[in-house]
Amino acid sequence: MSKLMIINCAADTSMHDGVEKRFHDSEVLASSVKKGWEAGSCIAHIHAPPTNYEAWENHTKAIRDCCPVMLQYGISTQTLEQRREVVKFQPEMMSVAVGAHNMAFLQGDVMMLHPRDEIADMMKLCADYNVKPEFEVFSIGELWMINDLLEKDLIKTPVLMTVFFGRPGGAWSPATMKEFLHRVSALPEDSIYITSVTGNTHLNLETMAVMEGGHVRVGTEDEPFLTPGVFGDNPDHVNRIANIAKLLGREIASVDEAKAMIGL
Amino acid sequence: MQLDSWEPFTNAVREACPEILIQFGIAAMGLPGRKKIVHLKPDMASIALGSHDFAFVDADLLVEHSRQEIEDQVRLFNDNGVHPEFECFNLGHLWNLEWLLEKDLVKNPVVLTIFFGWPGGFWSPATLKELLHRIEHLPKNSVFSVSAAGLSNVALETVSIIQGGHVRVGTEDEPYYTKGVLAEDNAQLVSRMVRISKELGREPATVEETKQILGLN
Repeated sequence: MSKLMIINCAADTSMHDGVEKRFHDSEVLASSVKKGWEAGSCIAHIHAPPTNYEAWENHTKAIRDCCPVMLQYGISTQTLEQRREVVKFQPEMMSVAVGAHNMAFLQGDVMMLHPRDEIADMMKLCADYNVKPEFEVFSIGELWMINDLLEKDLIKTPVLMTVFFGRPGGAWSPATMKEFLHRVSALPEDSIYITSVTGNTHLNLETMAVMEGGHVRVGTEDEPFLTPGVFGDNPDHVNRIANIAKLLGREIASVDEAKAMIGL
Repeated sequence: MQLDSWEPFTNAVREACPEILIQFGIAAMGLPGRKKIVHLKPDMASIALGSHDFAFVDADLLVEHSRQEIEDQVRLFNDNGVHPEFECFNLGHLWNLEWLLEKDLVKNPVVLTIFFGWPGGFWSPATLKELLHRIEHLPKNSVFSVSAAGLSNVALETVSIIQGGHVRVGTEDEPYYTKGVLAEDNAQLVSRMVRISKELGREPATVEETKQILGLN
């Protein structure tokens, strides 16, 4: 088990009712990302409107100007063409959905199919730009798809994935410790998994990830509340899980250490 | 399958064995197709609780199923006296089912088929561990049948029998009787399950008994 633990900060605030949306402005986003990095995160998972390429460029520049954090573009619903437009800004990682999107968000349901030939093209795009794909794993079925990519030699190990719990909709899974252990025990060897949880139990599962040798994604996108009703900003979430990890014998990976682990 | 095949197929089955319950396997079919064949009055018909994400031998099968579409399908069946058989490939599908239950659209008991080992983004391991994990999350008052692709299907069906579940076997799900040996026919696969369930103290339900169990009129 790796002593070093990666913290990914999902810095958005768009998914939850009653939480102010702050990140239409690149400087505001960069400021929150920087505070997360200072607290221990080595990856920032960010968003911008899919076809507002200027916003992607501005977000990227603003963050690069203020801290060395790795950028993970949260573009799992973006088409290949939209990805081609933003990959030029050279993020370290981009999100790739390997199962159909089937989410019930507050703003409306997000439904999208992801055919295997499209995923294969995305893998070529990633290889061409030296961008690491971050696979989204909502259920064990997505592991079949990842295995298919491995067998076709379309991806390199270690496989980087985010395992999700508690997101509403047909891609839901219970945010329970039992489900966490069930999923994690099914992951391929040579994978690096980062745990993302929505709901009141998020800290329990994140702590499980600390103990099981996994990695953690926290932030206002996934679950903005530290405890029910108590809003936490990105550095608050990062700080708390970093402290728990240290108490349990893990060390927080720096940007360079995480790059080496991920194979960048 | 062409839409106009459903009627001769249904008639042929009804003639050959008038009593058997017919379940239309139309999970991937949209609402317009369903509207055209619902008058054939199958006892049950399939509804997918999440988008189709299959990697079959011939080609991938990807079909989106929004909540609105699922709701419309349920209403169509309710209006026509067809009992929905819900397909559950993973726990996420239970979220959609719960949503239907909260809207009071589904009568109890909920009839579910839980699937294992089907290739694609819908896959789940055809293991006893996965089976027990799934069963534990099913809503109360659900009647579930287990369908598994792969030779471990016999083990999974046996656990379903022990756990109070029901069984779906046949050449669609797993055509091999044992490794490398194709089943002679569906009867051979069904007969094995009958023997196993009797040994384990459960009786295969008759058609009339099945209607009671599933809450069919």
